[in-house]
Amino acid sequence: MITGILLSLMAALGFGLSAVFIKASMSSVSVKTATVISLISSSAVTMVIALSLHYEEILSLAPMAFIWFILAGLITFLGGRFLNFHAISVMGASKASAVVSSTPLFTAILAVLFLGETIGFMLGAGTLMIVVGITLVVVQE
Amino acid sequence: MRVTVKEITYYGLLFAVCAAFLYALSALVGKKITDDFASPMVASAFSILFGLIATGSVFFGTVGKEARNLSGRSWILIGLSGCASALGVSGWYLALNVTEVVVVAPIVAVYPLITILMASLFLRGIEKITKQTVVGAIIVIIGVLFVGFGT
Repeated sequence: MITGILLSLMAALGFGLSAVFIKASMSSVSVKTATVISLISSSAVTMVIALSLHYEEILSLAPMAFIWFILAGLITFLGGRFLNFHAISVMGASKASAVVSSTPLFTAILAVLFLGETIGFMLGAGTLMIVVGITLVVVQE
Repeated sequence: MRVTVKEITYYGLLFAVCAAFLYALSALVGKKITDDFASPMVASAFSILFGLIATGSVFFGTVGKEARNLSGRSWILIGLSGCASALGVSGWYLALNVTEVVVVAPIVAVYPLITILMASLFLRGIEKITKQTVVGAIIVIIGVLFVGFGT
């Protein structure tokens, strides 16, 4: 349990720090360059971890898996990370992080639209809170 | 044409909401991958690798010119950002391997507060943190937890 909590904290710290480091570098670099350089270091770290923990699995990956990896890479990084860095550049790290953290809301909306899930109380109340929270973050004097 | 601060903020909001939507779409693609092809850590590593190849190819001209003139400080900060993000993704998947999602999700969901805390420490003079931003972020986090546990 303690290991899980520590790893979760590491994840939260990693996501939190990433936005701050990028904002600190933005005065001297374009979003395009920042996205590519950050992906180089991200790729190196995750590849080392994946190769050390899942070497056998990587050797036996099906060819079709690579089509899906490419699709995920395009959506998440050419699209998602690039726009996220743009948002950080324009709004600042703290505001952009608060808005981008609403991702589970969009996942739930897509699940309702395409997987036939129903809108219950928790989803409705959560959606309302996210909208109120984002409004507070964005609309400021 | 002059662009006001308010308009810039709304452009930022548009970028952030589009990013959140794409991350959500990516979660669905990720679910397909982890159900049918690979473990989350492997899927993540290869998605980032192909994301790097695609992004590098599309922005090759700009990056090629800028990277040559980039200061050491910028290289380090951007590199650290990429490493931090990779540790975030890896920590998330490794945590899910050793404990349950009900423990992991609420802890990881507080990351906007960590961003605010770190921004208040390291981005003084670059970014102003208001009480309203903190309250808004806390409400978003509670909302995200409601959505997470409600679906």
